[in-house]
This record gives sequence, structure tokens and C-alpha cells, in this order.
Amino acid sequence: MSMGKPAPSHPQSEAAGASEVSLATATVLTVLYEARVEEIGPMVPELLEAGILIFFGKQAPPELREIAIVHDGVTLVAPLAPQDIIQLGDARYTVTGVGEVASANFSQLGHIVIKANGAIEVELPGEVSVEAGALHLPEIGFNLLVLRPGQAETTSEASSIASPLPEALDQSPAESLSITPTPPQHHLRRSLWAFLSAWRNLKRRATPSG
Amino acid sequence: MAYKAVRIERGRGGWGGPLTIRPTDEKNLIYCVTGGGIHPVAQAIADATGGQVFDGFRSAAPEKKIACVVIDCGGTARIGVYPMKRIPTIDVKASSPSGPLVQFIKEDIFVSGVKPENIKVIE
Repeated sequence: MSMGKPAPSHPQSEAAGASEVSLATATVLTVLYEARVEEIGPMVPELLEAGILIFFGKQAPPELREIAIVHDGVTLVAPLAPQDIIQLGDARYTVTGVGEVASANFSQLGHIVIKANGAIEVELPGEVSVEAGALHLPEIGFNLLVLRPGQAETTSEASSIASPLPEALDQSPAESLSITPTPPQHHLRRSLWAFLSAWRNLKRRATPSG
Repeated sequence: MAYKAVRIERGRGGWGGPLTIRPTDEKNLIYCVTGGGIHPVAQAIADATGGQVFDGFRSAAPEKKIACVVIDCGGTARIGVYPMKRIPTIDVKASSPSGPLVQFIKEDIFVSGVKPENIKVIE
């Protein structure tokens, strides 16, 4: 069930992701979620054409597996947020909007619905919107990752920069890709916001469209 | 076993229905595919009808044994799948028809915004 070649919106490969160097400052990507895809349901291609990808964890019953990409992910370290990066295989998509139940669904059921419509205000509460453009579906066995860009000073504890987790989320610490001391939180939030704005602007200039 | 019928009406802000659910010996499962285990609405339907509540995320059940399904869908996946299969669908969220399977969501098979007080025993 090949969906064609992915058009990488970011040329960096996953293997190089220990630390990524941006054009302006050193950046670190913290892994918020990591999973391997095991099954692609027969209705997925039809949904892909409509610009939607539906994911479920392994506990999904058969009727939901028909319409979904099934993966083995378990732990979401922090609630999803705009500017997070969703990586499917080698292709990366920047999150623009997060529905109010999306993080809880993702944490409890591995369930996430990705729409490539660039929306900041999502249309439905279970959705996560990513930047507008084509979604590409690699072969079975590809990785699903959620990555959070941060400054080089970012600590290994992703929860220190995230909003409080709903009860359903697992509290295990992030798999950060670098470990450094924690700066004061207010400085971290301010500098993180400044960095994310700069990074987003740089990415817009550097990244080809589609 | 003697089962009772219930009438399930839409809740505040909800859509669709009313649905009449009466389990039988063959279709006796009140199938729950919400997050976080058995939802109170699924339990209330089971208690009122005599049906057996069942968590679809913990174990599998054959579709032919399902009397109705309880979902808490954010609007894309579960909200369409069960109406597409013509399984009476009760959404505890006040969702309106949406998502890529929207053409299957009809008032005679789907009701939303449901709370326990929207479930009434009828005979």
C-alpha cells in the first residue's frame, strides 16, 4: 500500500536528531512521543486524499483499525502545542493548532487526527492541524514522533516547560536529546517564546512550500 | 433473559435521535469505546436495559453482538464508523455530523450530547 514518496518538508533525517543546529541558534528537539507504525487500515488512503490521517494505539478494536494507522506508542510526555513537530517517517509537519481533547485522546488511546489545513483554531476538538500542504504516508514500520523544539538550555524534564498535565497523561520524564542544568523558569519561558518565534520565521524562509 | 427497552434522546446542544435500544439474547452488548474505561452513560444504558456493558478498548467483541455503541468522539473517526455500520451510536459529547464519514450519520442511528438523564425506560 505505497502512498508515493514523501516530500520531506525538512531535509534533516531522524538519525541526525541528537541535536539539530538551526540557522540562528543551537536547538534541541525533545521527544514527546515515539511510536512505530504496525498496521495501516484499508480506508486510510481514502482519508489521506481528504487531507486527514487518523491514528490509534494497539488497543483499538477492529472497526477502528479499518480507518486508522495503528501504532505501538504509549506515553505522551506533555500536552501537544502549536510549533511542535509531528514526524511521519522522514517527513516533518509543524503543528498549527491543537483541539481541546486531542492531547487526552492521544495519551489515553494513542488516538490523534491530523489535518493538513494550517488551522490555528481547529475545526473539531479531537483534531491536530499542521501546516497546509500534502500529507505523505510512508510504508508500514515507519516511526511516528512528536518533537518539541527548544533552546540549548532546555532541560531533560519536558514537563518543566509544559502546562500541567491532565490526570490521564503519564508523568514519566521526557527523552530529551541533551541534558543541561535548569535555568529559572520565567527566563526559560520568555527565551523559549522568543526562540520559537525566531525559529518559525527562519523556517518559513528556509522551507519550500507544499 | 428479559431485557427492557430504553429511549435515548439528544442532550443539550446534541444532535439526532431519539433512539430506541432493546438488547436481545443475540445482541446484548452495550459497547463502550470512550477513553478511560466504561463511561457512566454506557453503564446507565446497561443498568436500564439489562444489557452487558463492554469496554471495546480492553477486549474484542463480535459486531453482531452489539446492541448499541457509546462513544465520546471529537468528531472525525468514531462518530462515522459506527453509523456507517448501522450500529446505533450514542455520543456523550454534543457533536454534530462531521468528518469524512458524515454521509452515514443519520438521526435514526446517531444521537449526541447524551447524559444519563436522557435515557428513559419504555415498555
